[in-house]
Amino acid sequence: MTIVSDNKKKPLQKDSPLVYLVDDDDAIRDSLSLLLRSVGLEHAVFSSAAEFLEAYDGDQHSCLVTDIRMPGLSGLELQQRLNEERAYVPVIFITGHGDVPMAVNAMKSGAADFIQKPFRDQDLLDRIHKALARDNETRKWRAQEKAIRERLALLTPREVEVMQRVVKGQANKVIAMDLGVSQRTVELHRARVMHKLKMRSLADLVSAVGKINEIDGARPSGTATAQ
Amino acid sequence: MAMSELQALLDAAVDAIIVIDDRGAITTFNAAAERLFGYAAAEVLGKPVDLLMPEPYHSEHRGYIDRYLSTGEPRIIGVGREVLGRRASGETFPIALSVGEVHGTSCRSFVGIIRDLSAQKAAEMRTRSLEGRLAHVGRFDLMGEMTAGIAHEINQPLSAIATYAQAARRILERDQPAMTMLIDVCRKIDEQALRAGRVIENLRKFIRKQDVRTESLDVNAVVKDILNLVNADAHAEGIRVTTKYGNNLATVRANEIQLQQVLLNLTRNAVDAMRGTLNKDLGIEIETQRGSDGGVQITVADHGPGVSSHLGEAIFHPFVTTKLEGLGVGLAISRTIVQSCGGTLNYRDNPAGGAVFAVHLPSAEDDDSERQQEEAAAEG
Repeated sequence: MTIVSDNKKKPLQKDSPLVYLVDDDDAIRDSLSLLLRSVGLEHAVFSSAAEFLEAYDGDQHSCLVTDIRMPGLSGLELQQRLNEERAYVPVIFITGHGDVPMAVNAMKSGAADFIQKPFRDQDLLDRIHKALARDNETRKWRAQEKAIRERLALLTPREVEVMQRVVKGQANKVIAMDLGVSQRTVELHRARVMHKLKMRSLADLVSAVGKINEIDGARPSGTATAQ
Repeated sequence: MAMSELQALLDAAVDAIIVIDDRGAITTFNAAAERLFGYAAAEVLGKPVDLLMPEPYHSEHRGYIDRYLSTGEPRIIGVGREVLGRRASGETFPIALSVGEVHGTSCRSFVGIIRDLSAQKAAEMRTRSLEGRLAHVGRFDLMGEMTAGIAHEINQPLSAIATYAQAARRILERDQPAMTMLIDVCRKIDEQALRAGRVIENLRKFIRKQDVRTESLDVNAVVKDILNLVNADAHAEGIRVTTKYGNNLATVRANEIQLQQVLLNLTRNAVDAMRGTLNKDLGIEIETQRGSDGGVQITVADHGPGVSSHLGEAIFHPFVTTKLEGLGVGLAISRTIVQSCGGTLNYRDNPAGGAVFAVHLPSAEDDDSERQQEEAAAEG
């Protein structure tokens, strides 16, 4: 791989953006590299998906721009591989004239975006910036997720039960009746959950636990947070 | 047999039965004939039978009878053939006509038995148009497959060129553009343009190499072979196709499939050009004739909008098209094919409005005699 940077003295920080560029066509790769360079975007170029997978760093703030048609691992297969490895890098597919249906399928399986050749530079750059912003969100969330999971481990089973009902939107009175405890007890559990998870508001709790439930629900052999 | 009994018998016949005398006047007109032609017997009895015929039969029928009467050589009598009839409404329709001479009466008379072929012909046309469409798909694949491949091959350097140019623009917009970098970009753009050019060049070579076996061809036969397909294309759009075949044409040396492809491409273009015009009845004319050099000229003329003069020769360039969904390779490939046979493919305006594409192919006979001369010279 070649990391192209206008600032070669400093090593690339994990949280500064990097564009991974994969295309088997020398000229396309070279011209895209020049374009990214002209706008000062750090990037790493690869002539095959395998080469990229070898160098890919999941901790790096990045997005991936890849050709959809390539010998060896195709763009779609690369995306599949990344999904399997739970690598959440946003993908922008570069497609040819007849590849649009293929790209639509790719979108359905979670690709960030696609762009058809030949394209306007600004269109590609806009998509790259959007993808990087998305990656930033994901990275922030993943750091948060790690912390929340650690805190969730501190909850008692009863607290987890109360929390899940709260997240589902049940009122304290209903929870109290269902669990056969007093409303006051539910309020106490609830306060402890907020404290242990360091949540400032009910909205934060609902959003955070909701996301984790979603991830765990999507995971086939997932370790459920509750129940 | 009583007269009324005979009439009842005639009227019971499913086919139209018409009897005429030796002057061509109708003497019997049965019930089926009334139904078929839309005339009552009383209206037509005593009238010339050419009333029931469209041109050219209408004006020539008198001549047919006279010729038979003077020479005694039958053309249609005892044979039967498919011709066109004309109803009272003026509508023409296909019929099977068999004619017999009636002997033993005071004067010579002829009986015609007529069957309506409209339904049968319509069914045949449907089948033919289906076959035509199938063949059309096949033809499209040949060129389509190739063009999809080229489209990708051309798109790659084009994308690179676009991206290089856009990057160069961004570099130029900087305070101190890096000149060496820009010079390098220009060189790379140049390289990619040449790469695109090579794709086209390779395509031409491929076409020249492809199935180079040539044979002596009768151009009229080639045109007749593809006429079904042309008609299927044209009739689906309500466009008339007329053909004019030259006599005693020289044979030409070409690959039959390729020549068919070229002609189908031209006629297909003509159909596309006439779609949506008001001149559909003027139709498409395919004509073969002897060229000034002894070769053969095939012209495909349409009455569409023609080719605007600013395009000119460019219509023969690859990827130049006037069609919304065209790739612009048909004429380029066609010209390459024709040129590989030593011929030319040119465009001219149709004086009657529209486009004329002319394929000119040299005579294969010249070729042979030249070769013989060369061989003789080599031996001598």
